[in-house]
Amino acid sequence: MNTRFLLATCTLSFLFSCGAKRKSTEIESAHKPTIAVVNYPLAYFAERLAGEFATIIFDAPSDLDPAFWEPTDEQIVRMQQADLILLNGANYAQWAATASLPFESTVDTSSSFEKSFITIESAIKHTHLKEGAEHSHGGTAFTTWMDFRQAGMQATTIATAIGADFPDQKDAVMKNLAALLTDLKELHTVTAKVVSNLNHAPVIASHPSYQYWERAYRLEILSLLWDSEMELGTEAIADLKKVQEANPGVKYFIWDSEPLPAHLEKLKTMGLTCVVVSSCSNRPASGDFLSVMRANIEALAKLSPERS
Amino acid sequence: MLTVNEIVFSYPRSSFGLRIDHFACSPGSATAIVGPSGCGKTTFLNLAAGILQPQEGRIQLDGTVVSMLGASASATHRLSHIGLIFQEFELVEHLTVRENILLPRLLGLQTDPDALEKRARKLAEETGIGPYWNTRPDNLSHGERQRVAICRALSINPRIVLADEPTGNLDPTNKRMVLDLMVNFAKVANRTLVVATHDLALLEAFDEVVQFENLNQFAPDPS
Amino acid sequence: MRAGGIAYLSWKHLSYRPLRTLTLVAAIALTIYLPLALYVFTSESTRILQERARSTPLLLGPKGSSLDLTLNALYFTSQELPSLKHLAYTKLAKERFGTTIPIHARFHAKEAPIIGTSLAYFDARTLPVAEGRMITRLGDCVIGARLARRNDLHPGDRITSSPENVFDLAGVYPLRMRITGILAANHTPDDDAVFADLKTTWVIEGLAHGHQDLANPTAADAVRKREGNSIQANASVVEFNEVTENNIASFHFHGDPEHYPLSSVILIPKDKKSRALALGAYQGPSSSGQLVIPLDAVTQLTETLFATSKMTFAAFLLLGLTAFALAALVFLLSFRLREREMQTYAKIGARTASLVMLKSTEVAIVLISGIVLALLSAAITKSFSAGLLPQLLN
Repeated sequence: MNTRFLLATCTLSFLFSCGAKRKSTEIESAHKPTIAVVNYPLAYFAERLAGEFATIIFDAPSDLDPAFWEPTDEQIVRMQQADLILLNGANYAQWAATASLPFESTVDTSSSFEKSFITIESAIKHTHLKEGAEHSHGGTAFTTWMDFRQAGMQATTIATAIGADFPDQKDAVMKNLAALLTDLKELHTVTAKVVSNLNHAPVIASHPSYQYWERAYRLEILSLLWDSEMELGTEAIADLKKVQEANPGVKYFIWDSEPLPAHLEKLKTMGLTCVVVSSCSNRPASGDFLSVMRANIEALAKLSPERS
Repeated sequence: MLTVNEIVFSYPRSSFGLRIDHFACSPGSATAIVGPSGCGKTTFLNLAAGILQPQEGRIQLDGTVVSMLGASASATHRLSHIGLIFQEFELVEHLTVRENILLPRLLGLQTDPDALEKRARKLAEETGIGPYWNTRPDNLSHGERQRVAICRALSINPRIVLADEPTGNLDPTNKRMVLDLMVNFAKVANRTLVVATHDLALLEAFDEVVQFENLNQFAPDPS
Repeated sequence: MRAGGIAYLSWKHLSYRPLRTLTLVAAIALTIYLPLALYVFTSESTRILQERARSTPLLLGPKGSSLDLTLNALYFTSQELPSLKHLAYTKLAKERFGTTIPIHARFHAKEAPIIGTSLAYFDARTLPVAEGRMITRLGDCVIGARLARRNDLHPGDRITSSPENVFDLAGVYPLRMRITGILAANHTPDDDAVFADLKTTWVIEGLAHGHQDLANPTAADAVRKREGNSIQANASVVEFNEVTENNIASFHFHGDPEHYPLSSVILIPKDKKSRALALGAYQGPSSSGQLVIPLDAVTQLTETLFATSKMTFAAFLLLGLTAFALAALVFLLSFRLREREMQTYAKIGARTASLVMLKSTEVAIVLISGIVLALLSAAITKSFSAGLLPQLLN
């Protein structure tokens, strides 16, 4: 909660003091604007909105979930020098709470819907004798963009910030925003339709990263803590069986990325059909955010006929 | 050659007056002026040096009529041509022996500085004060100080040396040495030496002895 | 008499009595220096104060003395001022008047003030990093050029915050900070300060901290009570006194950040209209803080400074006249004592004009030496004014 507040403060500072952005406006013509981001969806939105005139900095290694990426000091310095720093908010990239980022340039893209954040109940909370107040070291779901309406709000916040920072580009950015929002709206509509075909039956997910998707598209997701490349040992299988026993009708297993063929076989023997629904938090090997989300929808669409 | 003719001098608001009808001494000669205290010996030397100007009469040193010179010209003439030696040595305490001897140059004597320094150094060696070249006078004995004063007077190779009781503060040995130095200079350099003294024991060293009597004095007219 | 000879004779006499000469030179130098230094210091202080005040157009702080507030924000003086809530900063930022820069100037590392602020401060004060790099995270700091030079500190070294007093060991958290860079000198109090992220000063304040993971079995001794997902720690929990790459994730904030303290907020309005609106918004008794114009506050101070210095200047002038009269007397007595020496010069052949020149040269050497010494001292005073001023203000 406190971290969120700090990030929200950063955003407020930016939004309400953009008139004083002398540095960027003065040297706008001298150098290409830079926009630093903390995950791929934000990078995609920024590219769609300002890719024609700005360089997007996204330094997270391709083999790492950007949510748990810890940028080096040099990478933070690079971000400090950016004209805009786009944070996801919702406790995403927790390093940002302890990093020194320029208030005026930092934008919390999810601040407009922070009241709708999902708190993960299982996060451990504790108190200290001195303060007495209870707090937690985490506990907010952060894959906000998986609800495409929220993704649209994030894109709108980004567009507003870019427009305020680069007034000359405002019209072009707003035009790009309209196109992006149309794509996101389509994703939302189609996803809602495809998922509704599952009749809101519970599904199992390899990882607890679908909270907003689950809420937006009225699914019931039972999350494990599996990795697509991990070895499915006795303990992992026991966990899965426990979930199956508690939810006898569960038929589908959602992976965040393509699992090993052996996993597919193993789960098939356990009566589960696998499907990949990628949150696309890092840059995909091919395609882009839109194509990955469409692939997710296609994969889900294939499930529906089988079920019906 | 120093010639003095019919000079009359009196100090302002004083009862003392000096009148000399004629006085002359030639180059290479050593002349002693003797007489009781207050008979006008020092006044005469000051007149001869141009420090005082007579009210009447004429004082001439070689071709220069000293008594006709203005204060400034007289000072310049004195600096270049007259060597003065005093009873109290009149050395400058904050200057070294070298600087005291070269004082005329510091005071504006127009001469070749190297030649002057060479001559001063030679004189110092000859008079036995060479070892004290960079010493201040307060570290020297009376005899040594007077030798420094003599070196200062002789260093400019003056036409005339005027000495006022130069041996008055010295012991017999030093008296002799100092006197020999001055007389020797007059002889060797063919210069005129005039010494005012009341030490009768030294008179034999001089070519001529002039007795200043009270007769030379007169009471000036108060008007 | 030759000019060289006169100068030489004068110098020889002056150096023969060095104590007398030096006393005279010192007396004259001091007589000139004191009023001059007062003037130089007053003017330079005024210039420095006004220059820094000009680069701080508006300042939001707690109600009270506007001068104390200004001096605390501009010179990091350690006046005990009530703190401003962080909420005041966010409220001001919301108003969109311009760039807002928080200042939290409460703590020290040895003698150096620790300033919690944002990166915008360095832009506003034109303070680039000369060596190393800018702060990047909690526990980082950049330090002023003079502080670095004085303590031989370099990027990579550590500097520890000091407890506010010896009996307050638990209150203010001694934090070992990583020096990431040395700032370029700008000849202001910035050169003597430690700059950290605002959040770092809140760690020092004890509002944020990092400690061992209480869910970890190794921390069992530190757990007082465990109820479901809630763990209550006892006093033995190991808190980190330095932020490192390994423990940074454990650092977290407690309480309501809106109530976190600040000393003041610098507001650089984006235009005249915003400035007027900002001033209007903080007028009246209902406003939570005061928005002051540092230049006005500083002008009040400098006017007082000038009024005081005028009186002192008059006193120095009288003292100076007395000192010059005494110096003249010393010279007259000295020349009287040297009458015989002068007569000797005259007898040997020095002209009267030369003797006058000799005496004048001696007086001139002493006077000029005194004046030069006074001017040099005044120039040194001027160069030290920038460093001296904050010390005097404290």
